[in-house]
Amino acid sequence: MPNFYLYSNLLGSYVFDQKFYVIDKAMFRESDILANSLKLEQGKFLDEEKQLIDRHKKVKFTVIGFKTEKFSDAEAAFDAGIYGKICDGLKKDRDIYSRLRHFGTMITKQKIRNAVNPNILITQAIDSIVELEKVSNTVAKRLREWYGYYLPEFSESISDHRKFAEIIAKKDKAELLRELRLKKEESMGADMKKEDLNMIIELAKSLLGLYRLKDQQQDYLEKMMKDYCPNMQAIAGTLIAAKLLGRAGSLKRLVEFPSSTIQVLGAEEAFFRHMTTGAKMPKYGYISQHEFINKVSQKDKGKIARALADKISIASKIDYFKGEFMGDRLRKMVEEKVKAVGKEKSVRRESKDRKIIKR
Amino acid sequence: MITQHRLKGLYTDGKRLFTKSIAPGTRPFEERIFREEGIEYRQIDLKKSKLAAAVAKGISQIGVMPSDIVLYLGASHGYTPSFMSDIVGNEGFVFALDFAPRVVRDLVFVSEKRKNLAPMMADANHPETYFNRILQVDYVYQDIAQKNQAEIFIKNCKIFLKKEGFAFLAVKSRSIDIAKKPKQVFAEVRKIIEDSKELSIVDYRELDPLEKDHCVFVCKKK
Repeated sequence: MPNFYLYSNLLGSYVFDQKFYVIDKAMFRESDILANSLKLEQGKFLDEEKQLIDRHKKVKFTVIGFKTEKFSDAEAAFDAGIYGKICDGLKKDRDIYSRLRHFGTMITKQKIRNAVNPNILITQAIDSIVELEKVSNTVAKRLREWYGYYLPEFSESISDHRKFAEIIAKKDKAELLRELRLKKEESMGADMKKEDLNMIIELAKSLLGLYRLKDQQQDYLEKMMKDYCPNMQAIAGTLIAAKLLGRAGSLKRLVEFPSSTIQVLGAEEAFFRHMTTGAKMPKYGYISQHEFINKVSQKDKGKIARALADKISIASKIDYFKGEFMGDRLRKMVEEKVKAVGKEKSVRRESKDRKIIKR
Repeated sequence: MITQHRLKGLYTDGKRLFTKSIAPGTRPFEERIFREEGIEYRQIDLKKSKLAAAVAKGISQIGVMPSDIVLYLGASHGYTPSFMSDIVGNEGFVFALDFAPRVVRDLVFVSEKRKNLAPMMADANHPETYFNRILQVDYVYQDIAQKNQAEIFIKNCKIFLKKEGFAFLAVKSRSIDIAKKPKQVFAEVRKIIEDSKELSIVDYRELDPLEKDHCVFVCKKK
């Protein structure tokens, strides 16, 4: 029985004889190219390939490629030398490169389109929120500086940036002086022309716009997270859960992390310093921003970080596999632990290597 | 005065490294352009391209020749691939692969102006998923930051590299093992290549100070 080779690429399926002449082929219809490429990627036999195999009975086919299924008595066996000869034959038509490039690019574009998922939108939103925080802080500082030449006493009297901007956009100097119980001569602020003051007020309005935008994005993120990973949101809160997701890249990857990794996500700088220079290992990353860790005493932070990371890990799996909601129960479990460690008396360690610092 | 470099496909004015642009009038990366006698040369930044860094460190050969068909693994946004496209010229071709959709998107834009550059989104760990989209090549170039980058290199060279073809592997020590000393990681990669019995090592350079903790191997398929 003669041995023929079957090879398929983006453009078509080919049958080569032992001298590597193309003795039969099936060029794909343009409308089939994308679907066929996907099938080949998965190692399946194409209809065109099956037809070619059936058409040449009394022939043993060796498929030069990778198959995950069987058809007839065709055997998939990759041989680099044979593959080379096949390619040499195909390359004789110089056009093949531009056609592979044309259809290859189409496939690439399709894959890129299909890669957009909720993860990406969540990551963009949380990154934007973090950026808006930084930007609004910078603008707020500038606003205070600038306004400080007009009525520094008011800037001094109010620490919340947002309230500050809101008020100066509404109230004029006379009103504010009265509220501060100051006479004009007692203030270090100068008079300003309308157009100069206007510039400052415009900046204040822009700042308020930034705060409103951040609120909008946070609301949007809340909704997204509730839909995408409600359990993680219940236990870690929207912002921390979104940051963890962003750092992991996707919910799928987050699920694959051990809880010890989740614990330190966000502390990469300290973590790699520990790995390369032997410095202290960080106990917590993004999760350190959680209220449970905030309100616990320093000595217990590590314990709670572990417990929290454990439950977040469980929550992520429930979210990924779309299980029954129990985020609130998981959160309660950590809450119980927080109460429990609060009650533990501080244990005086008697081990030899603990130095007792004389005060 | 820009003249041919001792390595074909590259050009130099004594201190800078260039390629002859096959898409004159385009500057996909805001690179410096030099024009001499109507020819447009693009300057390669030694800090952005491992290929250029290896040349700067005096590597005897990079293995790629004008007219070569190239498989580029780890194309990223397309910086070095764009210069590879220049080097192989219109008679050559570059299949540029990367795994991350965000960077392949940029690669698609770079490829639009270069008819010999094909952008592919694929995982170099699974050649069977792009086997149907490329052909056997004359040269494999790999710059992938993965733990098993050496294994990926061997696998792809086995399947796609022609007999006696050259291959270039850029190794990032931190991706393989962040705790081990780079020299030890490099030695382990060398052993993996030698043990494969498919490739012989023809040159090697450590890229310090241009790239910290990186080295390159130039190999030839037996």
